[in-house]
Amino acid sequence: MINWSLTITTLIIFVLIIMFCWWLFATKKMKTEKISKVRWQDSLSYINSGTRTQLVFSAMYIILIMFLFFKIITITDKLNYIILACIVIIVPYIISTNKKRKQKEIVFTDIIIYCHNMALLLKQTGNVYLSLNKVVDDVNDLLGADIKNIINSLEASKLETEKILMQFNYKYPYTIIKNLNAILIHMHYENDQINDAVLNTFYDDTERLNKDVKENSIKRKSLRLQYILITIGCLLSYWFLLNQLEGVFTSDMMNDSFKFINSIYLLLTLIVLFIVDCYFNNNITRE
Amino acid sequence: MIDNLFLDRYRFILFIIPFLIMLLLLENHYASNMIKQIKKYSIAMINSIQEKSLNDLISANFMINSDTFQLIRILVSIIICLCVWLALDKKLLVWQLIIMLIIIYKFCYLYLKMLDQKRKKHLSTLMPYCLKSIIYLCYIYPVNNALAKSINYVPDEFKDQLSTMVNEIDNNPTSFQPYQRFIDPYQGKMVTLNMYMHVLFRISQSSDNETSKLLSSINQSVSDELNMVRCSKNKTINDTIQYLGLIPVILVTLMMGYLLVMVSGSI
Repeated sequence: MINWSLTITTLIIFVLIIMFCWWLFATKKMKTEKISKVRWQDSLSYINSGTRTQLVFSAMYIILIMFLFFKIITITDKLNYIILACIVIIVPYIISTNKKRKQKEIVFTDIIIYCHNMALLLKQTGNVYLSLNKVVDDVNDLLGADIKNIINSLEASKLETEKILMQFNYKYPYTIIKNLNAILIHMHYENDQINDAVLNTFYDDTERLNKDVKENSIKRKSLRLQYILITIGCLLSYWFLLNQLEGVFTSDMMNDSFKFINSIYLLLTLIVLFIVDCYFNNNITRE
Repeated sequence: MIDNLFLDRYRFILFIIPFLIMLLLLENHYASNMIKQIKKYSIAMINSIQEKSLNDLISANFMINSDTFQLIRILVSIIICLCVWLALDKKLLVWQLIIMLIIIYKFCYLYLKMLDQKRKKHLSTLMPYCLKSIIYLCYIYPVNNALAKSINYVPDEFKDQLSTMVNEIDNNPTSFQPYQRFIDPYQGKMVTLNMYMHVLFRISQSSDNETSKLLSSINQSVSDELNMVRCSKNKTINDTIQYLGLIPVILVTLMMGYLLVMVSGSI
């Protein structure tokens, strides 16, 4: 007689593994695209690839949630029910923090592109208005709209521009932006013949920051992958041991305590996974 | 009993002799250093007992005055003591309670000191960012103007200090005293700050030709320091992720051990 519950569970696990492999492949592809294109423009393709990966992620989560709901309906043990309910509640939170982290990373990459290109263009043209107009096309719409605000304010008084730049700095609280704002104010309102050393220093600093951020983000992604693989390995080895020990315990009391410990272990692993994921998403690579 | 006592003393002397020989064998330099260290720690301990810097610590870390802090401190000590007394089923003696009260009362001061250390460390990590902004402005404006303008660009933590420094420089432009006052709170935490401020002072007193050379010399050092701060921040996060990653391994090892013990018990 076919055990339908077991067959469906195995099938879902199989699909999940395939989805996971697909996700790994997609992130690897995204990483190579990102490295080659982050320096100059074309951040649109990066975002497209990011969206594709997010789609894979979302599909994976939907399947996982469906699987968990299926398990919740069929489950009888109270503790296991609580664990699965927790997973269903936590998963959307993890998805949202993951998305927020990605958005923050994209914004930071855009900020670096903006500063880098501004340093080059200011050296080349010596005109703030022209440089800002050219840089708008290199960044995302979100940052682009704020830069357009700055461009519009350049026609107004110095005080107005300073106010807009302060708001811009409040929105993107990076020292590199503060320094660029000081240069912009000086070049536009005081003296357009700026010392080359300032722009060279600014360019060097942006270069260094870009290099550090890229190196660190790659390192962190590999760390996260390692962490996920280690956790999967641990769970698989534990599952293997559990299967081997099935039927060893003769008394009902020992069986119950075995089940209880098993549930506690799952709960602890879940808590640890949640903490690590939150830590990873809340501490992005910074300036 | 007397024999035992004598033997104990004898053993004690035997233990002390190698230590004394080691001290004698050490160079005078090390010995004097050790004495200096002991003196330093004893002074720190006495200061900590006397709580000399309490008012400064409170004003630096909290928005409350010292009287309110003392009141909170006493209340917290009494409440914790009461909780412990009740938790231990009222079995504690009066002298034990008093000692516990004093220890908790002192812990509040130590906690305050720890908070201050943390704040100073945070400020020392922010300092390179502040210096970088000042250097950019120094490339554009004269030092005095650059320092005045930098108040709008540096992190909020330095704004008050910088504005005080700018006022003092305006009153006495040829003196290093305002710069020195800015350095003093970070003396132990950021050694290179002294050098940077000396260079800034020299720039303020020198001609235009020297300015760019001096600026480029400190710019490189500040960039390196900034890089180090950034790397250490990222390294802390990465290390934490790495350590947290070991928890599932530890959990599975513990669980496997427990299961094996259970199985061996059932057999």
